[in-house]
Amino acid sequence: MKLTLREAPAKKDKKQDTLLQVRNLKKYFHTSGGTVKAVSDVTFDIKVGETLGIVGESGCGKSTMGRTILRLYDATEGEVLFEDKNVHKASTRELKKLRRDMQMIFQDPYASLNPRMTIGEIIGEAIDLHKLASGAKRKARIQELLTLVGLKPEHINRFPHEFSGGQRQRIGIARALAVEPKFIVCDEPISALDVSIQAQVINLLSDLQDKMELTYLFIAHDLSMVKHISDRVAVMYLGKIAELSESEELYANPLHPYTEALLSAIPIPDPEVERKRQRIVLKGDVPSPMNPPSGCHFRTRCPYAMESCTKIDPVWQEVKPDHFVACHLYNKDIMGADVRKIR
Amino acid sequence: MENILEVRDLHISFHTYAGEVKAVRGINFEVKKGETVGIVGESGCGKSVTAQSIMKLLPQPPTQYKQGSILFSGQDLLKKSEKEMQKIRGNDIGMIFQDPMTSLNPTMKTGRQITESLIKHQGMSAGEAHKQAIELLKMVGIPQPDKRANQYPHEFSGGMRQRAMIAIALACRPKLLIADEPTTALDVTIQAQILELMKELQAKTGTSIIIITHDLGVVADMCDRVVVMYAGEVAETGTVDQIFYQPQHPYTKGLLKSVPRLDMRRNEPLAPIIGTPPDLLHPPVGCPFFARCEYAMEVCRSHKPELEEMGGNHQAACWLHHPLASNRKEGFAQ
Repeated sequence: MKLTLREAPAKKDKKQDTLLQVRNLKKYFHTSGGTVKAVSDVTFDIKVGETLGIVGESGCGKSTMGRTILRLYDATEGEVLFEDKNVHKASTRELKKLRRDMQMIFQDPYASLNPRMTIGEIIGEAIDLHKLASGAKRKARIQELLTLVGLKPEHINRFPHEFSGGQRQRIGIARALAVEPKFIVCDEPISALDVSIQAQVINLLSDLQDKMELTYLFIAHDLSMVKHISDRVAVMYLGKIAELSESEELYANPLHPYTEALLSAIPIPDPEVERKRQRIVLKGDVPSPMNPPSGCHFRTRCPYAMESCTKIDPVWQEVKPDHFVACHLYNKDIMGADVRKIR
Repeated sequence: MENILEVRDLHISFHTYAGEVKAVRGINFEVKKGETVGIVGESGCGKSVTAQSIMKLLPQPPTQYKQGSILFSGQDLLKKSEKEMQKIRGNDIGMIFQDPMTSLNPTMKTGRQITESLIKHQGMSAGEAHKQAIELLKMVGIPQPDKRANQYPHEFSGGMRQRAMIAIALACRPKLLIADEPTTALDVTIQAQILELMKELQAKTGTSIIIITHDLGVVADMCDRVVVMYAGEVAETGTVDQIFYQPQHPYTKGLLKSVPRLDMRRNEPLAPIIGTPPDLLHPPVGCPFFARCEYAMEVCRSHKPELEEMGGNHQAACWLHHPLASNRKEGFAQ
C-alpha cells in the first residue's frame, strides 16, 4: 500500500549500493569517574542517496556516533567502512581523501564558525586544503556555493557575526559542500534555530540532496522533523540502537517499547488530537552511561520489563522485512508462544 | 470568569549603547481564573520580556516600562514599590524558568530553597516549613523526598531540578504561575512528565498558568487560549481551537505551516516563512510582519494594523480583514 510509483524505483536502486557500513562500533570515554560507554556496539548500513535519521534523548550517544563514524573520534572497537574502505584503519593520506567524501554540519552555528575569518576564508579553507581551485576560480567557486545555499555572492567578505542563526547554518552547509562530499553527517543542524527558520534550512538540505545526490546521516531529537526528512530512522537509547526501520513504518508501527513511548511523548500541534491522546509517560530518568543497567538498557523504565530483561542482552533481529528491533518481546526463544503479535 | 491578570497597552524598552530597543510595543491580553494561556513567538519577539515584566524582574535601568499597566487582581503591578513586589513574588505569583540549573541556587539545599518562601510569606516556623517542603517534593513526584530535601541541585537530574523548581513556585499556592519555556531544556520523555505534572497540579490547586513557548505542540497540549506575538506586538489571540483551525493572521498561518507533523506525508516540502524578524532597534512603521508576508499590501508598509475582533473573542492585527481588502483576502482564506 505504501509503495507509490515514485518510491518504487528509487528503493530498488538504493538496495543495490551500500555507501557506509558500521560494524559493532564502540566508543568509550575514560574519565576520572569511570568509563562512559557512549556508543556500545551499533551495527547498521547507510545506502547511497538515502537519509538515515538518528533520534534519541540527550546523552544517548547519537552525536558521539556521528563523530566516530567520521573519525573525529577514534573508535574503541568495531569498524566503519566507507565504500569498502576502513575509515579507522586509513593512513593520514587516505584519511584526507576520505574527508573529501565525508563532511559534517554542526549543531551550533555560532560556535562552529571562526569569528575572525571572513565567509570567503571559511569556505575557501576547505578548497585550499584539498587544492580544488585557486585564484579567480576559487572565488567563483565560493560565490557559487553561497548562491547555492541561498546567500548572496557579495557576502564573501563579511564576518560570521553579521549573519543570523539561519544564515550561519547556511554558511556551515556551504563549507561542507565546498569539497563536493558524497556523505554528510548533519548533527542537529536545526536545533538552535527558530521554528520559521528551521523549515528554511530543512528545505535547503532536501533540495541539495536531490541536486547533488548526497547521502545524509541526520541526527536530531525532534522526531517529527526526523520523520519528515529521513528514509529510514534508527532510535538510540543509552549507547545502543533500539529499533531501525523505514520511517513511515517506524512511526506507524513502533515495535520497541521505548520507540512507542518516545512517539507518544511528542506533543502534536493539533489541539483536537492532543485532547484525545493517551500518553505513555515513562517513569524516571535515563540511567548514567557510566553504569548502564544489566541486560536491556531500557529495562529500568520499560513498562513491559520481565525477568529475562535484567539478565540477557536483547538480540538485534529483523522482525519484519527491513524492520530491526532489539527487544525480548519479539524473541521467540524467550517469549515462546507469547511472542508479541507483530502488527 | 473573572480576570486574574490584565495587561493593558504595555510598552517596554531597553536602553542600550546602540539605542532604544523597543522590545514590547503595546500589548494587551488577559488571563482568567484557572485557565492556561500560551504566549508563542520566535526568539526576540518579546514573550519572555512580557513574562518577566509581570514579576517585575527586569532591572531598571536599562529596562523602562514606558507605558501601560499590568493589573493583577485589580492592582497595577507597575505602580508597586520593590518592597510591595517582594510580597507578591513567590506568594501570589510563582515562576518557573527555562534553565533549572542556573535558576536554582547551587549553594543552598533544595529543601531550604522551598522553605525560604514558606517562612517569609506564610510565617511558618522552620520545622513546619521543612515538613511542608517534603510534602511539596512528594507532590511533584520526587522519590525519597525527605532525603532529597537535604541535597543540593547538582545532585538532581534535569527533570528533577525542574520538578524542584515547580515545587518552589507552587509552595505558597500562587494564583498565577508563569512558566517561561519550562520544558525547552528537557528531553521529550521528561517534557511529557513535566507537562503532565503541571496539568495535574493545576487541576488540584486551580491556579492560572501562563506558559511561554515556541513549541506549538506544547501549546496544543496545554493551553486554553493563545497569544501569538511578533516583534513585540500581539499578532493574534484566541482560543486554542481558533488559533490552530482558523488562524486569521498570516504569521500564525505561516508558523503552523512551517512545522512538520507526524501525519504529514514524507517529501511534502515544508512551507517556511521567508526572511527574518525585524530589528527592534528600528521597528518598522507599518505592520512588523510586512517584509515577510506573502499577502502584504501597500497599506501594510505605512500603517500599523490594530487588533480587530474576528468574533468569539478572537482577535487579529491584520489589514486583510479590512473591508477594502476583501478581494485580497480570498487567497488567504484558503
